[in-house]
Amino acid sequence: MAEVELRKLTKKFRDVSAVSELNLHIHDQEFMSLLGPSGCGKTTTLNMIAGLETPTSGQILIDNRPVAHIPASQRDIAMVFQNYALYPHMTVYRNMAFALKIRKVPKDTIDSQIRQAAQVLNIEPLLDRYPRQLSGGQRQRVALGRAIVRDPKVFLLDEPLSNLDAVLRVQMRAELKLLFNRLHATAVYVTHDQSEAMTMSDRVAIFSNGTLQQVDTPMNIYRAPANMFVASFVGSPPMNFMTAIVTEDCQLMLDETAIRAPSDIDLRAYIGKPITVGIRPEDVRFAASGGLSAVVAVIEHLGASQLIYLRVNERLIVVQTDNAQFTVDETVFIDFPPSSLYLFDEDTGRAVRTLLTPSLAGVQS
Amino acid sequence: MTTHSTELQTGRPLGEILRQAAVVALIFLTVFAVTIPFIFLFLNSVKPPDEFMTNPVVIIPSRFTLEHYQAIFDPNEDTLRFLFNSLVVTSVTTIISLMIGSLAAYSLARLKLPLSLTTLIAFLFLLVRFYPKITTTLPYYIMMRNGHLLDTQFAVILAHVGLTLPFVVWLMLVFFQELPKELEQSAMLDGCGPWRRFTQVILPLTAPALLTAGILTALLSWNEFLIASSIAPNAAKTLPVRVSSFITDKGILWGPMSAMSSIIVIPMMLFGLFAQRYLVRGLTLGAVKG
Repeated sequence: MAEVELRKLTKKFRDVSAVSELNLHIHDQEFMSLLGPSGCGKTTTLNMIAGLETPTSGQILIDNRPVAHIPASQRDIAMVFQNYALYPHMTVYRNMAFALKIRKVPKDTIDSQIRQAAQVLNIEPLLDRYPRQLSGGQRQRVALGRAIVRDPKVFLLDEPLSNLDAVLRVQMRAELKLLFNRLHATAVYVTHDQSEAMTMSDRVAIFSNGTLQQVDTPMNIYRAPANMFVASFVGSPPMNFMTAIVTEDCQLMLDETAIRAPSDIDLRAYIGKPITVGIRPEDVRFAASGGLSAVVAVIEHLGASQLIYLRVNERLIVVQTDNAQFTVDETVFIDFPPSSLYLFDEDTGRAVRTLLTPSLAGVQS
Repeated sequence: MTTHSTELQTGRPLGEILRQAAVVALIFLTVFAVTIPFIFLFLNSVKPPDEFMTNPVVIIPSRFTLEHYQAIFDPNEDTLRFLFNSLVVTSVTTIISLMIGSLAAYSLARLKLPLSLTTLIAFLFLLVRFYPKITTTLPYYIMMRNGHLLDTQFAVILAHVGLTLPFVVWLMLVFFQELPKELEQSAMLDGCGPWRRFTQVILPLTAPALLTAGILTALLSWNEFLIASSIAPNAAKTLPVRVSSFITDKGILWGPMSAMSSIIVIPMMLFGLFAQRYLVRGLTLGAVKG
């Protein structure tokens, strides 16, 4: 096992920057997800770690050793590809044995390692089959098995679940998590699916347009997004955003209604200026009266919970709730608890997080 | 009512039967049109000599004779030597063309050259096929003469490789470009260098393409006449050249000519049948279902 460090890693394709100035430290035995929309540079980053792409500038260190001059074949890295990339002309057994044979591992060691991995992954009966005789889920397991038998320094996984159907994907997600908990392996997992990243990772790195937006644990990313991109990308349904004006007494003026701002955030620099207010759908509260008045536009029943789309003046706000009985066109009142509000700078999109010092906080409230 | 009763008797409407009959007839007609020259050739090869010059032409011989076959396999004739020449030229040409051609195509497909350069190189490969073969015959003759290679198997092989290589490169280039790049990347991460990647992953997967290229190369070399006749007219003569030499200044020896022409086809037919089986198997082997 090993740690991976990326220093100012940059990759340009002609004039287009796929990855720019990326600094990222993946700890030993850590499961790190690279999350972002397609084309954000996460797969390019993975390919550079693997040695399949050459960085334009910057450094990659594996166990504190720069690997720029080491070809992919000698980096001791195993990769699971999105389309599995199993060798079609080899049986499952030979697919798994291939890398070990090249490394001249003794035959009985190869055999015992394959049997062991096959047992872990539940693919023992498939060892003599060819990839074309397997289902999608089975191929997925074989691709994992091929990586596991090598006991590599680092596992790289490139959207390994995206070719599976929804039910299987959730099942494999749990199995993968169990597997990597057992392996204590360093893994870098590329995905555009936030639920995969949130459920499986120790930490998540969020990318947009080739730049790293935030690295943190899943819950910290959810509860303290660094900017509007992260806030809108993580969470389903996505966070609601509204523009409000900061009043003289550091409260928020949303259209005609005053809303209390989070008490611990210093808003004095924004007085008289617009600011973006965000609230997650599950944080919106219904009130008997007072607060913002809204009209129910659409109700989506999800089973355990429901999504209610409310029209507030000209904008739509999504609310997730588990036990509300509403009808379409009904007028309701909603309330935003100050502690659940996220504030973002209107120009930069960055989260406004300047905390009030305790004494000042006292003054303001 | 009539239609209805026909339907009852045969289980199918009359129109359907007529349409199928027309399709079958059309297939037979096509097969007939393709094979008639060969049938005529074969009938000629077993026709008694005195029936060649009759008017009207005798198509079905009055009796079958094997005397023309006996004549061409007469110990004084060098048929076996020419057969040997042809086999050597064809097999060596095919092997060299496939080896060099697939390696060249693989490099072209994988070297990260600018697209325009790859296109230019591929185009240059094809250039030799743009002008009539007769225009290259003289240059080949002069080169072989200067290299003191005239009338050797090696000369014919060289010329044939020159003819078939562009074709192999083009065919293989397309296949290599279409192979998913992840397979190679996977092999790379498994620890394979370029040579092992090529031989253990790429080649087995492109076997069907290689076999197709092999069949077509072999056919081209086996049947090539123009260049072979100019650079190897005697000792290294191949079978097609031998066939033409039945046209003598004293007349055309129709019987032996037909007999040898009939025999020339046999090795390629066997090779084709053999290769076809593997071709089909190879295609399913390489398939990766989505």
